[in-house]
Amino acid sequence: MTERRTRNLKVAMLARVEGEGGLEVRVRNGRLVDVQFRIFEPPRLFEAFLRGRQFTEAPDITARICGICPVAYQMSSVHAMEAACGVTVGGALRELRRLLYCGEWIESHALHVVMLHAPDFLGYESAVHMAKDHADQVVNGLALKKTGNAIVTLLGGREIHPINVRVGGFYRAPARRELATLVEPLERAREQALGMMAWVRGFTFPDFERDYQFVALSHPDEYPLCEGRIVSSRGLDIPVADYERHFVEEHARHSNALRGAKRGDGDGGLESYLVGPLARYSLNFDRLTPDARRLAREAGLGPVCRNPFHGILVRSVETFYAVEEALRIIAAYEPPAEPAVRVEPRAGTGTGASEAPRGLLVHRYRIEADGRIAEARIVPPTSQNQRSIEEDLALFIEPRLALDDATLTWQCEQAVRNYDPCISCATHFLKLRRTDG
Amino acid sequence: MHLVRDPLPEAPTDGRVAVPPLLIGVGHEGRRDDAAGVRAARLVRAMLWPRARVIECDGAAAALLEVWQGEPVVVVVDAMSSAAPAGTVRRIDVSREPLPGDLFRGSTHGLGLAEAVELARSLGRLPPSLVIYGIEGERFELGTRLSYTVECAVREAALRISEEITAGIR
Repeated sequence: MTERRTRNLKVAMLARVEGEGGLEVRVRNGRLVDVQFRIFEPPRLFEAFLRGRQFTEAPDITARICGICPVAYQMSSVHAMEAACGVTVGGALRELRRLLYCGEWIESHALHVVMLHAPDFLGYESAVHMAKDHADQVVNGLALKKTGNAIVTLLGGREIHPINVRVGGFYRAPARRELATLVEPLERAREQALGMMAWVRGFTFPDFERDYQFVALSHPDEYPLCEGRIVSSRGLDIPVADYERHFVEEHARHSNALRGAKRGDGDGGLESYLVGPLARYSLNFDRLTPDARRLAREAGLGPVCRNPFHGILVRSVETFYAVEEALRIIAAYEPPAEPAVRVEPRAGTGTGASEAPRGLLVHRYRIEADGRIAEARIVPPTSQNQRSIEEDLALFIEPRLALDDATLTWQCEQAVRNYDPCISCATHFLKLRRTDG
Repeated sequence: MHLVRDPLPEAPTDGRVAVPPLLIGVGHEGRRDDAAGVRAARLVRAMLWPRARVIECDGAAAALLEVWQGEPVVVVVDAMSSAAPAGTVRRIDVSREPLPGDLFRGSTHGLGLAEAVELARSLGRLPPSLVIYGIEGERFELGTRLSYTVECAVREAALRISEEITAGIR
């Protein structure tokens, strides 16, 4: 028998991810040679669309980047614009923003946990196949998602690409009685989130850990959604405005998305880092509610989670937290005097960051005195995680090379889906070289 | 005071459905022919106004399961992307036969119309009567203008759907 010397595993089109991407793994003489997480969805050029538009248009334009996490784009953009204009939004309007974001977390996490990721752990090709044997859990997940959608619809005007968010607040603030209609579904969602966790904690998880460089927002008083400083597990603690001093993006030939990296502290070399639920959780565990912390411990999670396959557990904890946080905000809600604070444009630059379900989302804008956008930069979480995804795969594959191709390919896809990558979000960069003359 | 004879239509007595069927137009208006289903649904709404119940949907599986839950008779119209000639209009009664997975374009995370139908079947949430009209598209790139052949097919589909709905509520 001739020994096979070269082995290529190729997933031309990754299933159960948002957008179009693939995976290529090359093995030669029993050693891993290369891993590429390929993003071939075409560039979407949003930063270019924004130039010349009014600063007030950014939340509506950037919401179109993603149908799953439009609220994240709206929140990062309004915070960036308010920073540029020297305005801070607080009180009930700030709470409403958190409530809207809770809705997005609930719907996005429920979708990923139940419909996209659970089939990997249970050995089904898709949620459709899984539903035959786990109908109750699928119905439970869809009900949770529906409650998340209901929050976004009530506050945002519609469930996808909300239209009620503006720089300075909202176009219309809800009355107390309107928010009260969400209480009953949220009480049910609390039980549904517990049911989801009870289900996923029984899955079997690969034994795999990495010493990630976690990066997330952190706020002294709350689990981060819209505001905070950017911190890391290696001591970084910076205001959002300093993001670009510490993080860069580079272009890799095999990907249509820019790849994020952190500048090293010593020689300035580029380092991978991880954003998303694991990072958020590990850097902010003590700011979860007591019940959410208890839920995490009961699922076997410590205050720091380094196994990316446990992401499904962490998302379940965050779903439960988002339900509790939504109930807290609704119970304490007093409608604001005005639905928005007045924001006058001025020439300047502003950076905003928020925690999309998939991780840190950074927006920076430079605007002119008349409010026109002169420059825009958007750094989505999937771009920042690309290096980490490839490193995960390399470390994960090496000790598993004895597996047959089908099994190894399956596990590699699962490892990518740990990140809930949003490829559509990641491919909007623009690198324009222009020569006038 | 005006007295009107027979001001309301007579209640059906022969077992036919009293509530008009729900028509769901699926598609994305920024992807040229992908909007065929939405455009056809709007035409039906105009043709049957005020008797038609028409909604538009992006086609994500979870959203479809939500909107047709509890509905006895549902008609869905969406753009197809199969090997058929552009403008082909196909009618599939999915309460009687499975929906081939490769006829329709995927939605967010690949969970689109075909997945919604089979998921609903697994969960026992398929409407008792679910008919799907597919309109074969030609161009799905960014843009808002339908191809000429697809524009014609949208009218054909709208006529056939309005006839089917009218027959159900007559």
